[in-house]
Amino acid sequence: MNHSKSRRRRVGAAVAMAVAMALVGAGCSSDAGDGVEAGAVNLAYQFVGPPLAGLNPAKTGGTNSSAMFNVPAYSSLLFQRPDGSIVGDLATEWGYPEGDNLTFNVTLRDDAEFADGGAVDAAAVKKSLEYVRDGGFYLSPRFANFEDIQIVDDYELSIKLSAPVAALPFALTPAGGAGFIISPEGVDNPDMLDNATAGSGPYVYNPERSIIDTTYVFERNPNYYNPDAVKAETLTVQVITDPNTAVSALQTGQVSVVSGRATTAPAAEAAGMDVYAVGGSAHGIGIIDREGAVVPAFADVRVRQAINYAIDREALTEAMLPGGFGTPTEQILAEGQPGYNPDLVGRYAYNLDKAKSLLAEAGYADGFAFDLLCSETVGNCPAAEAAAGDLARVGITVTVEMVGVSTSAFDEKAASGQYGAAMQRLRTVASEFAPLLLPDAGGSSNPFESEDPEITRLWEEALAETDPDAQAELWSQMSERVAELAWFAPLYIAKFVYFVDPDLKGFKVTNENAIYSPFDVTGEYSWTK
Amino acid sequence: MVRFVMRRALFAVPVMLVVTVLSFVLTAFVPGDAARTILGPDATDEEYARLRSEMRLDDPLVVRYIVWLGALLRGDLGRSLLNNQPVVDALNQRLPVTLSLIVVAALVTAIIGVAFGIASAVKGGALGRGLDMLASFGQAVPDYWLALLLVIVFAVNLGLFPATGWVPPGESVSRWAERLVLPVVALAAGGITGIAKQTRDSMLSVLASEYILSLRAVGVPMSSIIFRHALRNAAMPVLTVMGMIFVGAVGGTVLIERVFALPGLGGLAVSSTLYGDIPVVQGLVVYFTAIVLVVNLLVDIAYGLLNPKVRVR
Repeated sequence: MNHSKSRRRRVGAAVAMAVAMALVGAGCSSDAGDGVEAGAVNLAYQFVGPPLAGLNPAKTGGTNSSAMFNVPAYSSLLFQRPDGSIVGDLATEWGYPEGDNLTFNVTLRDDAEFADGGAVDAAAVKKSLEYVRDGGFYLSPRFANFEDIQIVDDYELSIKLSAPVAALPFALTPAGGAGFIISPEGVDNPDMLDNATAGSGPYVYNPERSIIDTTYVFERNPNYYNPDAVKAETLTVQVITDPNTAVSALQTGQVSVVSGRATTAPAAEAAGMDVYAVGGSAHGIGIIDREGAVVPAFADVRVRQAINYAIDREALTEAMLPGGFGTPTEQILAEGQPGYNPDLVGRYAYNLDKAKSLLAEAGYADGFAFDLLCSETVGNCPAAEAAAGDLARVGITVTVEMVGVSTSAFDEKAASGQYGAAMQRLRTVASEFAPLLLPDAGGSSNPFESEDPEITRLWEEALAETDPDAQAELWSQMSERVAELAWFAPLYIAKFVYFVDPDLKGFKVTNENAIYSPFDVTGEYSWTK
Repeated sequence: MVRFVMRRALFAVPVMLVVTVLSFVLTAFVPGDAARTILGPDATDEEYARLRSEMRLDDPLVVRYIVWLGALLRGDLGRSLLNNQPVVDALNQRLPVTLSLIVVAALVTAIIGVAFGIASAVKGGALGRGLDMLASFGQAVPDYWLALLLVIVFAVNLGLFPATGWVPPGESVSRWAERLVLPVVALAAGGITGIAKQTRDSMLSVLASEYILSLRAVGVPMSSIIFRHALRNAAMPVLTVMGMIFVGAVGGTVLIERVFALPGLGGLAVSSTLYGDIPVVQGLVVYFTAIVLVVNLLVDIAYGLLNPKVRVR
């Protein structure tokens, strides 16, 4: 009996030991053997955002997130470097030969090939641009003015524009989103672009090693025209939706770059990660019913200005984005962008007396009420609640309606024309403001189709202006006009925040170009370790 | 036994139909849709209407359901509205992740839970009281919180396991196992204590029976009494709880997969529901319902094996 008991104990102990050793052994095994060659630099970075509508850059280009997926596999005509300067990628020369913003010439390099071996020549580029222009994609409106794309010779194009295109060279960069060139085979078989790539970029997407919406693996493209600029053997985009998980993955070396938040910054800093906070875009209240169709009071500019005066932006920004991750603002453009107007700082400095006096002048001394739409998925409801608290002090009763399902549900409600105000994330660069400021350009951004002749005039003049400084001055005047009309009550500039593994080399973002790129056409800022 | 299994399997058909109809109707009431997700905030009403029409989102709900059901019978679950990927491919790519998580968690739950339960019933005393406390604690602690804690302690601070990610077993079994340890512990913790407590209570009840006393009186070894006689009779309620815990674990994977960034069905369920990708949602409903039905069937079969009287009902 005792022998039997003792044997069972020994067996039990042995099993327990084996399990423990297996677990510890598993835990101690290295990550180096993930199906990639030893010694090669393999980098991963986090993506967080709505699911991609496939990998077709015509469908997904034009958003900040698309750059993470498109830059590795697709070369573009031009490239914006971290300092904001625009350099050639597939293009070696470009510009307006006639100085009127109506003809744009592009000369292509003659040594670029698509990953499938085909030449990146004028015919291929024309086909790709026309595909995006005519395809009814999110990006198509940016090419709507490409009236005629003419092939001058094998590597030269001349694009005739029906009207000037806002910041066209920028639009043709990955940051601008519209210049990714797709191979003729990809254009002919667009369905294949959803889960494959057909570009001439430094990497090629490997669907076998990827899981859509979770892991996207890009492997080095042997046909890339500038192999010296490629530093990492593979790039992996890892979708991680939980901010704490993202920081843990960074700390344990599973990813090298994650999108940060003010709330998780202390943990990242404490763990020795590099924290970057740059650029950003304005967030605030869009007073979208400027004719007073739903909220009659909004038709009076003094009421809209009173709302701007009644908000304590300093306190609100510190509450929402503590630690310097936000900057209070009264204008639509962030510092560092062409058109940023320093004279507008303090334009609506917190002043309750002024707000009350304007409301009284407008006939709303006793205040009024409105519904303010916000999106829980975007995360702007706390700011809406805070602003509502400020507005209550001048007698304005705000009912915050939170849309908790999805960003598209929020867009649907904002576009319905039933709400006079909605929280809005404005744009980063002036040339992308058309949907917010022009009557016929957007859906949920300007649902009441507000129009101001002065804003439209400044917009059109800015588009037609070829001198960058003069154009910036026009954007600045436009920003001032928008502030004067108080179409928005901007609250703060939310900076783009990144947490980065200190061992990562080449990571660079600035106020001028706050969207990171794992690859730089010159190689200087291509990521490696 | 075969007729018993066939009867139970046939019962799955109406269940599947009801569940898919319900999910189809409920999804239709979710505001926002895939067309708006794809087009973003700046699309005009015309662009939005055109894409909705192209995606057949304007068709009446009944028509869409019938078309979908017809395709399902041919083994085709359609394509994702967002990325055009065949839904069957998307689900099959993720199924091994979720199944690994659920099956391993269920095994761990069953083995450790039953072992603790038996030990506590037989030894009693401090072990039993400790188990009671642990059971309350295990059920009170949210999986999500425990998962975050495990990541901080065992991945970030001790560096024993990876914080996130997935490796298919076909690529490396050891690396598959190391990535499952923390998620499985997080998912199984509550169940282990629940199973242990249920096993202990059932075992105590059975061990107090007269036939057990008789067996002991005639000198049958204790191990034989426990494993051949008592456990068999105590297993019925344990099986019921185990089935419920297993089904609960299917839902639990949604949060666990999020914390560990695992590419399973749970994460897909969240994103496809949020962004109105109805074909994917419907495909998930079919898969999840199938998993639950299979589990229930296995539990029923186990009942039948343990107690032949069940088979004739």
